[in-house]
Amino acid sequence: MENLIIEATKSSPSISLNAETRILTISGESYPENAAKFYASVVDWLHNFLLQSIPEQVTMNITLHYFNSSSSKVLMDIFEILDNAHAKGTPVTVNWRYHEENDTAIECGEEFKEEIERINFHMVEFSDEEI
Amino acid sequence: MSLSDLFKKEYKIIRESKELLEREVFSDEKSAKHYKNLLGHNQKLFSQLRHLVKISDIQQNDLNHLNQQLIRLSQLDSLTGVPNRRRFEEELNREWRRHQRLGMPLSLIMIDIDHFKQYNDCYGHTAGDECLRKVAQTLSVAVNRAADFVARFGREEFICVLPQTEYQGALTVGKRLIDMIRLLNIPHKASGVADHVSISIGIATSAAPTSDHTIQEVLGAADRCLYDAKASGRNCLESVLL
Repeated sequence: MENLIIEATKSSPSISLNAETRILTISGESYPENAAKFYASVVDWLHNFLLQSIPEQVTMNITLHYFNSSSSKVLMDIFEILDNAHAKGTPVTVNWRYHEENDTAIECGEEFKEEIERINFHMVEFSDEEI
Repeated sequence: MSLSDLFKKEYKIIRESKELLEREVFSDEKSAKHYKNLLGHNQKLFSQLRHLVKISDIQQNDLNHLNQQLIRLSQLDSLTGVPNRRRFEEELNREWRRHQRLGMPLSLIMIDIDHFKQYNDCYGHTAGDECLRKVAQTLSVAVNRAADFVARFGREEFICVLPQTEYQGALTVGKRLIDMIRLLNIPHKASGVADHVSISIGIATSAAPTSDHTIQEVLGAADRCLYDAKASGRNCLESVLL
């Protein structure tokens, strides 16, 4: 299966979905004009990837400095897809990465964590030195 | 308002739907399953909505906070920390309209640091910046009534708005400003006026803002007085009552 790589723009994050390493990365800012359209290929890729249903660890690393409400909804849909895969035997871990001084990212991460039912959702702090 | 209050109706609908399912009102198993499935989707959607609202609130609070910070910073002079000229103009227009309504006197004091260019040439720009900071802070302290207002007007120019202040009152404040800058005792060997940093002042008082002059004319009058003070040897004040 081909990997999906999307370069970051001013209003959309960089996306790297790697079928071999099973590491999925979303990083940057997310306020695309049409969030559903921007993330459609990500959602499609995820569906196809998870159809293979190999019971091996999948890790999603998310580092979003800013995201709009439409992006939040898409993220929740993505988490639901992962949650269902987890329930069917593919262990999934989501790492919500936030800068130590970004209180907003912490609070938003906590909300996502609450919404998720089964997958492992980790809050991962980083500082300036680790960028 | 808590989220449970905000979504009172939705909670009720979900509760009633569950009760309906438990009461087994459906005629066949297929309908019941279909209904249960729909209810599950609704519950999920509702849960997402609640969290989306909270996330949105968190972000909006954050943006609002940043916006206020930005407004505050955009109104301050970054070097001296006193209000900048933009803020001064807003404040002056507001005060002028208020004084027109009240029919009260309003005074303006324009302040210029004497031979500041020479100060910079003699002591360097870092010392010049420090001098501006000290003068700005001293002026802010000297003009100390709650409604009084000091702003940076130009490179080495400051301006005070003295609401509800008559001509004599403005003169007293002007003299105090000159004294306080003198007491700062910042050495200025290139001055030629004094051996310390000094200021020149132009004062204009509008006795009755309801009369036919504009705020621009009061500002212009204060500027001309400042020019006169500089022409008559600096480290002094000139004033006019309009």
